[in-house]
Amino acid sequence: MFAARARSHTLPFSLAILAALALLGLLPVEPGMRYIIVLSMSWGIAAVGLDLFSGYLGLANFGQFAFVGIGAYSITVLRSDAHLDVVLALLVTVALVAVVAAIVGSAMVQLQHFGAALTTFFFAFVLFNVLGGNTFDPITRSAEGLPVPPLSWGPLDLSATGQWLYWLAWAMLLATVLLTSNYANSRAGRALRLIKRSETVAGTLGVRVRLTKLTAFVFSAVVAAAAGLPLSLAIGYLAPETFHFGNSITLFAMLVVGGIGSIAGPLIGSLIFTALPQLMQSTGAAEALLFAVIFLVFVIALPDGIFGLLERGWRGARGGRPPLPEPPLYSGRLGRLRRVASRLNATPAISGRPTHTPGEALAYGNPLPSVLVEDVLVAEDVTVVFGGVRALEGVTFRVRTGTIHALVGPNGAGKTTFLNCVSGLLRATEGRIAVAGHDVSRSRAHLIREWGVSRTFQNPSLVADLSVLDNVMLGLYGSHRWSLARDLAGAWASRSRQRAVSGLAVSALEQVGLPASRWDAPASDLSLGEQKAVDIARAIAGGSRLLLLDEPTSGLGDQEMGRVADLLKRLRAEHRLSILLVAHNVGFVQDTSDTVTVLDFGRVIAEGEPDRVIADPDVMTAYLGVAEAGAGVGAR
Amino acid sequence: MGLVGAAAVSGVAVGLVYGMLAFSIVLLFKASGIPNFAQGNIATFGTFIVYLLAVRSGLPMPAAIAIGFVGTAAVGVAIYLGGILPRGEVGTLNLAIRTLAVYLLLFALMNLLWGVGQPFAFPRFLPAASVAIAGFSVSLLSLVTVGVAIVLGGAFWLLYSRTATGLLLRGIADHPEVARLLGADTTRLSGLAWLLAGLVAVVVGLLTVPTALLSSDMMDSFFLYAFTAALLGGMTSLPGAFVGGVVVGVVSNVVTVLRGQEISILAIFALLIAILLIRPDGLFGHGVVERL
Repeated sequence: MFAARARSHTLPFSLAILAALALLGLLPVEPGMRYIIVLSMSWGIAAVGLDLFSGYLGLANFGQFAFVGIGAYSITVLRSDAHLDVVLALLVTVALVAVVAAIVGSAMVQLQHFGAALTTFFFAFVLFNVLGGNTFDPITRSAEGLPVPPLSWGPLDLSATGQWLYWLAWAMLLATVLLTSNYANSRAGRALRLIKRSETVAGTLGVRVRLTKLTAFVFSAVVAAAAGLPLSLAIGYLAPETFHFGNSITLFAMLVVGGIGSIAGPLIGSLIFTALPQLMQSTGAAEALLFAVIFLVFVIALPDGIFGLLERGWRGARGGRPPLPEPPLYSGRLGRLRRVASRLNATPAISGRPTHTPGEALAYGNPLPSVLVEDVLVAEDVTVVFGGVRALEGVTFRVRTGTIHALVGPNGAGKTTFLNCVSGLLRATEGRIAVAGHDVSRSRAHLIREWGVSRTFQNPSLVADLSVLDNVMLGLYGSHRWSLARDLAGAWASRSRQRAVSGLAVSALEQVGLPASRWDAPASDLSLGEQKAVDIARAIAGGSRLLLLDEPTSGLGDQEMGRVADLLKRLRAEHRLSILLVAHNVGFVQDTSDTVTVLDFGRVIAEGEPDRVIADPDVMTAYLGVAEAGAGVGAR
Repeated sequence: MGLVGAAAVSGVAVGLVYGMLAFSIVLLFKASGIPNFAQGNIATFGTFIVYLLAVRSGLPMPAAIAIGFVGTAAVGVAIYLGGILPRGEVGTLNLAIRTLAVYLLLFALMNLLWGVGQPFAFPRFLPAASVAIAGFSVSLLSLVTVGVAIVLGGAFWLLYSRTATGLLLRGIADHPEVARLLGADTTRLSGLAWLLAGLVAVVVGLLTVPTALLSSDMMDSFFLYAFTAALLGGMTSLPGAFVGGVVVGVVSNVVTVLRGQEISILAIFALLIAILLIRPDGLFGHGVVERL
């Protein structure tokens, strides 16, 4: 939803900033200045953690600093009252904050858009009131304030006056940057960016949308809580006012001004805007007004933030080259990926040889359990009612395994509604839908995807700021065993899976015939025809027994349409993939389809072989007459 | 029990104030798809205008209020023209963040211009009388609040059901292209929505200051409560905003009497979490399927 796009692989920038901070730490900087930098780095930790949630997942969190507050208070109370060792206190605090964030988060993820913004804002308001109130006074000592006991760890003095607090904050910032960067650039991070693009599409690709959002929220909250440790040690004294809810908004503003979705940008923003007022020793209303104006100007005119400016400067300096020192992630390894792909191609399920037996709903690509059925899709009496409108009325038909089945009809006939029912985006009011012998009418989208139903949308919803190959890998989201822990540990820890998944993605891209030179391009650079091809590659990459295509040819020229027809026929012939497609172009349907079902006003009015159905006088009046006139208008 | 009952009764009146603020949030949300986080501070800003004119410039209260309405409506339109309209096709979350920036901006501006000596006692413009209704003592302010809510609700009902402009305002956020195809000037309509939201904001501010001191952060809890009310009502339902407001007002008043202010804030937050978990589309809302 942000205008700003999320960037991949910005780690070099963040590491450069950290190197500069390390250098600063080695210099004989006066204590006052050191204090300011420690404070800035603490805010930096919270900001970087927040960037995962707001920059990559695209949800606003106006309460991040509340988690810093819980962290600071919890660690301090556990240390001074329960006399816990600092490491233990940190671990207990992390667990506590994870639970709190999970509770707040599970409510918040129910709403798209502003649900997160409101809930987190309110949460920060509640926390400020609780900290300052009487109820928890025995713990928080709101009236007189909570002194932070000095800390030393072995020979290292980690208190505000000691030399080593700086390095504690620095090391925690480094760890946060590395973890967040790994998260953002892993499979989990790609899923976040897909959700940001469209929750609906994410669901149909097998992403458990709410759980994924919740996990990202808990991650960012836990990181913020950890920032409470260096912050509390630096200020030495906790008072409710330090964790005023306004600070959360300020932190969010720093993120936006720095450049959301880049990790390095929020780091820059939080460092500068925490340090500046401290350096100028002025936190008056005029400065607050100036900051608000800067914030507003950035959101409107420069949603990419300072990082976006630097990026543009970089691009200018390098004469229009791509903005980032993006490592040639795939091109260099293309040869190896090809080899993996060809090895995978040798497995029976994906080979060109017909290894299936008659009536087997074969899974294309990654092995799905094969099921012996005559009809891959059975729809019985499917009825969908929207308010007073009956979008589908007792729709009954079957798709034979290994055939291409076209669903046609005038605009508003209910074709896309039917696809939505099969893929779990919409629940039929009445009736039953079975895929490969399995009733899916009550299943959630991601489970239906796991059962081998994949689909494309009329407007290919690729993630614009991910590469073509990354986009196709999203189609493999649910097909391999992954763990967030491995993702966080970095590319190295998940390299074997990553290779297998890239291999499958490459072979899917080869299937749809997209030239390898385009695989590294960002999806935003593709033509519509290419986008549609990538969308199909994404749908088949994760293995599919039933492919649903919503107008795969709309907006395409004759030549591109021919290529799509060839591709579908090839998938049918070589892999016995069953395809249900919605199309308007009669020639295309006649060319590709084995069977045609005609819908009109939500009812099946004809079914059979294409040539016969299209000659049917009922169909002529209901469909052809209307469709000829309305073909140019965007159809449902 | 008597105390709780009285708290519940006055909670209805307070709830109607939340409801009016929620109403102005929903009004904007329907017309432009933006959740306006600055709406509370717009109300405070408008109230400051009235206060300054009445107290520092010595204008009679009705004149001050009248100018306050005009001024705040202008502030609303200015926010729209300066903060929302430029490059406005970037998605609702970017626009929501702009309203957060406006929240900060208005807050800083009020502190800069009128920060010295806060909080201020607003001059009394309603007698502190109360009447007994069904055994409960109901303050004149509560009665006036109910009356204002009825008039406001009625006026908007007429606007929305009887005028073409009102009809467009209701649906423009859902189908901006359709509205444009029908020949509606969406810029003018959105500006009108911000103007109306500004007017309602002043009403909310004026109904708040008889029982609260005037300060820059006066509306912080109000607008969070109002958002909760709007969500409870379904975020797109205008009557739902009032119903949600009354629920929030009664719960918060009763819990305050029983357990204190702090716990009542927690209770409303718990209410928000519960709504989201149990019925994320609110009492009167309905889910929408994304079209792709």
